[in-house]
Amino acid sequence: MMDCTRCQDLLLEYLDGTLDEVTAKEVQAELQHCAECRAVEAQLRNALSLSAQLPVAPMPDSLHAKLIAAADSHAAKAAAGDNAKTSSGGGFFGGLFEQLQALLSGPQAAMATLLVLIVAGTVFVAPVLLPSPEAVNSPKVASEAPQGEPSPAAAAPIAAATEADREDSVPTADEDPEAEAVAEEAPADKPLRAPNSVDDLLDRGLYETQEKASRPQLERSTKGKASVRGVGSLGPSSQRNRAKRATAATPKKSQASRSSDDALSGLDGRADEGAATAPERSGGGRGATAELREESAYAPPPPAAKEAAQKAERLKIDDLLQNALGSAPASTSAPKPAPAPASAYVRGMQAYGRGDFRTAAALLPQALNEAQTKAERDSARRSLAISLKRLGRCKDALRHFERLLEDGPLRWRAAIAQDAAACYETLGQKDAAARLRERYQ
Amino acid sequence: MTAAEQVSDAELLLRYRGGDTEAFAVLLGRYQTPLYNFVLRSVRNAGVAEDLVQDIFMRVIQHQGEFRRDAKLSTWLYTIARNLCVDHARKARHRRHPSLDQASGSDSDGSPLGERLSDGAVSVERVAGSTALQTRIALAVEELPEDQREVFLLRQLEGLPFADIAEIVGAPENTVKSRMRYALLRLQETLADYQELAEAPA
Repeated sequence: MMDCTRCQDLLLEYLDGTLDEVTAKEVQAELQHCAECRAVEAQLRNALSLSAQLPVAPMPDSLHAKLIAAADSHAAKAAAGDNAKTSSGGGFFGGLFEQLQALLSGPQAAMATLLVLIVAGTVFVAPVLLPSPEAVNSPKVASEAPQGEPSPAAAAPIAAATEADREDSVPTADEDPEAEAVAEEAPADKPLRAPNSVDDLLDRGLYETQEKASRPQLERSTKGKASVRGVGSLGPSSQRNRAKRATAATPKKSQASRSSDDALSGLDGRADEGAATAPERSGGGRGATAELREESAYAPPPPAAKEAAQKAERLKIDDLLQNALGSAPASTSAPKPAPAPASAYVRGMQAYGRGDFRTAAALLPQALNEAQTKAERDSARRSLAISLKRLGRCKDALRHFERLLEDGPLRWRAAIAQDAAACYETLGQKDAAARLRERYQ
Repeated sequence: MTAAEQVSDAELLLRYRGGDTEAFAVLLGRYQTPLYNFVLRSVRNAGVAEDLVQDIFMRVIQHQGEFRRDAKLSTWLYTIARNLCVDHARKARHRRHPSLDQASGSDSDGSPLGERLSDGAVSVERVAGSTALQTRIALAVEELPEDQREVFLLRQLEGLPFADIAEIVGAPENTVKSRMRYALLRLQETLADYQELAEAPA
């Protein structure tokens, strides 16, 4: 006979129907004999029934539109980058190859082709295989900064962390000392690594590590932390220490960069709690480090500085979105190819993203006509319908909502049905609204 | 489009990597509602939830090229989401006013009364058309201890297997199951007066 503890441990799976047949029968037998287990089972069953009624809020449409526009823009930029690369390389090779072929014929052509390939290989492939000086040096930028004398290579990680924490907690309280400390310590001390940080995921194979160096915009823009991480991965604690000092002694770091560090530290921050609650994972002496970290983490940050950092964080995200939406701020100095005139779809979605529904409603009908793919048409139609709804043009909006309910993406339908039902209600057609809600519940 | 619905997350991400923006739209459609609700119920503030969800998906857009086909997107997304929520809670604790701290004495996850009164109400009101029971359930969920709430939400909103939840929250699978059980029993206790309603036929 199964005991009560084991039975109650298995009740969730029993109620889910995920137990194997034999175990399920054992649980069933126990339930028949034990009133206590039966009571727990009834409670869990009721709770599951109640939980199924947890209301689900739709994500705001404006955020959906923003993200779609950002994704589109990112893909377009990536494609533009790829095209630029392939067209320059391919053009050169193609041109040379064609010219030689035109000049030569017969057996000479084969020899010439071979010659071209060898020369091209030497010129173009070698630099790819051999790291460029910039590539070799770039991760060391922070470590090479000449602040402070390097600590002995044999310095214990705890000492390094202690020193770093002290440095951090006093003058730069507006930065998150906890996160900085973790970022510095983590790479060389695996058990301390944030179990869920982006970097940790990289190591655990959720990412392709070989592409780590090319992690784009978001990471690159967080200079300080990226550099520290890069150095940390090189290993020696002395380098990490120097990097730490370099970071700590760079008060000019922009607010945006700092706040973005903060945002990224969200991924790392949990490591501290992990270290504090599970010292056995991290080996001897770790408890002391965790304690120190806790202290620095609880140093009350000046509220004004925190608010400023948060504002900057918002600005940074907005800046990223602005970039992604194609209206890059003047600060971006990278040379850009001459921008193609934005399509009605892009302009319409941009207007929609910033809440300018009037402009969106004016542009998106044209986007519907010009759409190259069904996805683009659906996306435009949905944004158009919502814009019309926001403008109080419920009848017009309903036309598009109904169309989307017919052949739009299945995943959208529940949300669209809600919007459409709201339109019907505005028009006083409560029955139609109720029918719609019921159908797509 | 219907066919696209059947395509795996990894395949969609790969397609997006290749420039297929429709693939991203499908992915967004798959995850935006559960993810938004996970964050909303965790931070209890609609504005903050929007910011965090935006941050999560922007990271996906920025880093999609680094995602491996054999990894699970859901695990990645919710790991980021969960960490941002934890970070937000940590910062909120630093910001908290002492007098409000004291008022929240019995709250096991340490959320300040001020936040619960204001933000809790906001997050519930966001769900238009909720019945009184639903509103009560939402509040009860938001009042769960943090470690139980995150497991409950991942299970309830996304239907993730316990093994995946264990990976996301960084705890053993059995611990995760226990947390889920405690969460349900606590909800049952809190909502005892609605038991008959729940048992009644819909």
